[in-house]
Amino acid sequence: MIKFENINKVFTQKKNTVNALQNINLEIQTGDIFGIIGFSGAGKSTLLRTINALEKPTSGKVIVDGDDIYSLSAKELRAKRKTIGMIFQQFNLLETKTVYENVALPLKLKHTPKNEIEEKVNKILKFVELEDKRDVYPSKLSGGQKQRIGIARALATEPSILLSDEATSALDPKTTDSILALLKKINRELNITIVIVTHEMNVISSICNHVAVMENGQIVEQGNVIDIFSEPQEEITKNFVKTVIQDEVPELLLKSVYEDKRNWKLLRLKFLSSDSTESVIAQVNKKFDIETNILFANISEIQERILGIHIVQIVGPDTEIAKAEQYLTLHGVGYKELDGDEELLREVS
Amino acid sequence: MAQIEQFLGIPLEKIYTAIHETVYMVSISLLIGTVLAFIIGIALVFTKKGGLYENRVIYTLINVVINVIRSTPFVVLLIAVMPLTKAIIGTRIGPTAAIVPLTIFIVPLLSRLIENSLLDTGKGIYEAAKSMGATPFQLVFFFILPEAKGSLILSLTTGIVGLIGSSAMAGYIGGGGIGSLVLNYGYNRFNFELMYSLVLFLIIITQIIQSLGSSLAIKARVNQ
Repeated sequence: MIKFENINKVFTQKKNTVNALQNINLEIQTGDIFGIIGFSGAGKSTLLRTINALEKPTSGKVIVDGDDIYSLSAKELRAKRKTIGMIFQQFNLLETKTVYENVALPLKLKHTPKNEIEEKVNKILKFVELEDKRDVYPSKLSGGQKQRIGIARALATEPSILLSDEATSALDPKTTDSILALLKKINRELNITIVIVTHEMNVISSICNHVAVMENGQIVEQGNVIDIFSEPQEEITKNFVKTVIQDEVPELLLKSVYEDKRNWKLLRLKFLSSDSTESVIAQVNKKFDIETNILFANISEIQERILGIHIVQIVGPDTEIAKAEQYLTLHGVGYKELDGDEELLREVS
Repeated sequence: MAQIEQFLGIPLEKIYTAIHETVYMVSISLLIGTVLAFIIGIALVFTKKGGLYENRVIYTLINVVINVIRSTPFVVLLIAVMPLTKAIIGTRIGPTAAIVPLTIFIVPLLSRLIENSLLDTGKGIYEAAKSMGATPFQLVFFFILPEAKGSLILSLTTGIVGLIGSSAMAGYIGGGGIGSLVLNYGYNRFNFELMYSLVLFLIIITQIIQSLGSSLAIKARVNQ
């Protein structure tokens, strides 16, 4: 487990002081894939670096698997760092060394016998599916391949934790997906806790279990990824979620809804299961004297569960709508009335 | 052979001896100088602002000493360090004595060049090394030096060329070597055939060393 206790970090540049981290308290469970998201300058990379002491906090404690990182001696810290792998946005591979030598390096630092290094490196290269690039120099590799080597190097010492600092930010979407799939595989098969810093919400939605949202050096929101995605609270979180689930109804469509003279209500429905979302809506239509009009629908897979977000106009008498709402709740569908939603109304009025 | 000797106006043995002395002066001072310059260069990189062991006092101190020595003309340096030379070597003249001022001359120059080469290694490599739990020693020998190899070869080449030039000047105070041959047998005796031949020889040697250094550097960088 990684535990942050009252972490503060102040950078002083000439006369300016910047509070890079303010009162951070956070727990990351063993075996988790934990995402830290925020815009650049939010402090997420600094927070990540306090885990392996690349960045020392001004005050506060970081406890990694029972060890208080900042009370370790230099020698103990070096030993501890060997149990925490790290990958970087710019890969940070040694350009003058081959793929094999790069991956072997952390083992050489540990004075591992040569034949053991050989065996381990070959195994890891196979794991990251780059055994054929063994004797190639990094300059001959693509970005995705470089990151795979970065990952292989980080795994060489068989760490229990892997820190990922914007590891996919320099990669195209397709390559990003393959790297994320690899990270997931590492988490599952090698049972390594992964902490991911990113500014891309799709990274969070595709592999993280928990997420912390950072802004101005503070954690403004944190929790289960699926909860954050279905019910974001803070403005910044809503904006991040929007980059993955664009739950905005086109203005033209909304206008026609507001011009509707019948009695209606706008509901934002949240389906959280692998059940067919369609059947619930169909049932509502059949069972009650109402008419539903789907204005927006999105279905995404998050943490291997289906998250459906629908925005629906329900037309009918209030009593029937109320019954329908009851039925939805009974079938595990969350709903929120959007009638008073300022954002929606502002655009139309 | 005899024709060459006649053209140059001195026995060839004298030239062989001079070449031998120059090689001796240059190689010994280069060897000592490189070791010292690496230590100082690494110290500069480490104690620099934002460096791994940022230390303003040490950095400024080394910096000032380097600048003082580098701004002293070599002829002045040669004479100024004579008491020190006498104390260390036991004599002020001869190729062995010349090693002292040559080393003092080359260390600051090489330190600065090495510092610049090492600064090329990006901050990312430092972070990667630290995250792997590398010791400061490992950081230098497994990360910083290998990554700067190409640039370091160029720095050393510049150092050798500088040393050859300065070693010729050491002939001025009886340092021996090709420089003193040019001065005493060429210039002072109006033997311009000898003088220009030796100068040409130095030019060719310098060219060869520079090309060798450049191609080695390219070889070291070919994979980057």
